[in-house]
Amino acid sequence: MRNETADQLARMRQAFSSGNWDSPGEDCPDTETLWRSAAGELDPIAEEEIVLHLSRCPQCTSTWRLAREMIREEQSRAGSQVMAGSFGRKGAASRRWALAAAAAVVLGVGLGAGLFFDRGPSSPPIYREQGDEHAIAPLPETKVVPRTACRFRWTPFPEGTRYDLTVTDERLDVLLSVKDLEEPEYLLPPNALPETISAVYWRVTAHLPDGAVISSETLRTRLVDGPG
Amino acid sequence: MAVGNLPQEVRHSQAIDEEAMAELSRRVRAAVRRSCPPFLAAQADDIAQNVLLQLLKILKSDEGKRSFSSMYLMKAAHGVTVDEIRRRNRRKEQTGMEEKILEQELSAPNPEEETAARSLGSEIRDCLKGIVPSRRVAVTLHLLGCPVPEVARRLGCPEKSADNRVYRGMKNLRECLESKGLRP
Repeated sequence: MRNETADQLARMRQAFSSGNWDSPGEDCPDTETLWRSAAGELDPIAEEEIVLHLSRCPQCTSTWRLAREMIREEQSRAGSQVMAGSFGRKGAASRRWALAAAAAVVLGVGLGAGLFFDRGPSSPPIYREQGDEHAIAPLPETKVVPRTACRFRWTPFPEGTRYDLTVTDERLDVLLSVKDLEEPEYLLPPNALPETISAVYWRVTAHLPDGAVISSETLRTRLVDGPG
Repeated sequence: MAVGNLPQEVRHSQAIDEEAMAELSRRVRAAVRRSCPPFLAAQADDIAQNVLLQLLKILKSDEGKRSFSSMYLMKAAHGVTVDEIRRRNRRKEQTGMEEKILEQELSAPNPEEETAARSLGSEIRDCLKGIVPSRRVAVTLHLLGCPVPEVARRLGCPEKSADNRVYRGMKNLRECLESKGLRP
């Protein structure tokens, strides 16, 4: 139970973040680092260092807050896209489902399914850096695949890991999004691929048993007719 | 911003999806409106237009890579938006008093409230200095709008511990503000 009312807390939050866009000082972190903090991409030690800086620096607080708003915008959009891709083709019923799901994302009740980001708009998980021993890499046979048997495969993680896979076309429109895969591979249903595209982009997010979340780079697979 | 109004050389960039950029522009505008002071929020459309133009030029020079995720675009837009807002802020500081008054009349319905908020913000920061760092971090995240479970995740600690740090830190903050005669 807090002692301040919701109005008081809102006033304090507004006052704390009231926009100050003066130039940053010499000890201020760069914009990239502030973005990564707002996105929840820093490890706890680095995050604490940045937040301590924010506690005394109104300039960086403005930059951080703008980043958070932009990330929320993007998560909301991506969530809507994934839902539209998952539920739907045509018909009012499926559109209603997609709208309801998008609304749920905005309300933060756990249906946030970011296209390339995370599982919830208000609860970004701790991400590990790409490039360490846990980096997700595609297996070589996924560079070029037959259109009729498009199988994505990537380096496996420890048992118990679950994988989310998002596939887009060259315009980054979501073709398919699947979650909680137990195996580090996925065979795309043939009817998921429009005939007009010659390549797909895909990204894997691994949810490890210890709670860590690792995302791959955006990977490209070329589609060929015939056996590949 | 209507993407059709973009310069010809930018529109022809093969690596850029125009619909995606128009959508990006809309979202930049929305974020600027929500996170900037009124005089800047009123210029959100203009800021978003300049951001988009600069962003398209940057992406055009990167064209061969063709690996722009939507979050990558937003991240790039953030950097450009911060530069654009700071530039406008500096320009505002250099304008004459007459223009400042006009801007305030046009965009800030209650400049006294804005001034009071800034003053309270400054006092909050002053009080935070006196709070032990472990609580200060939790309170700062709380003031930045993070709910307790998010505070816990960000700091890598159990929720109960985060809740305790927020609770005790906010109590310290209230006491400090009250000692200054402030009650938000």
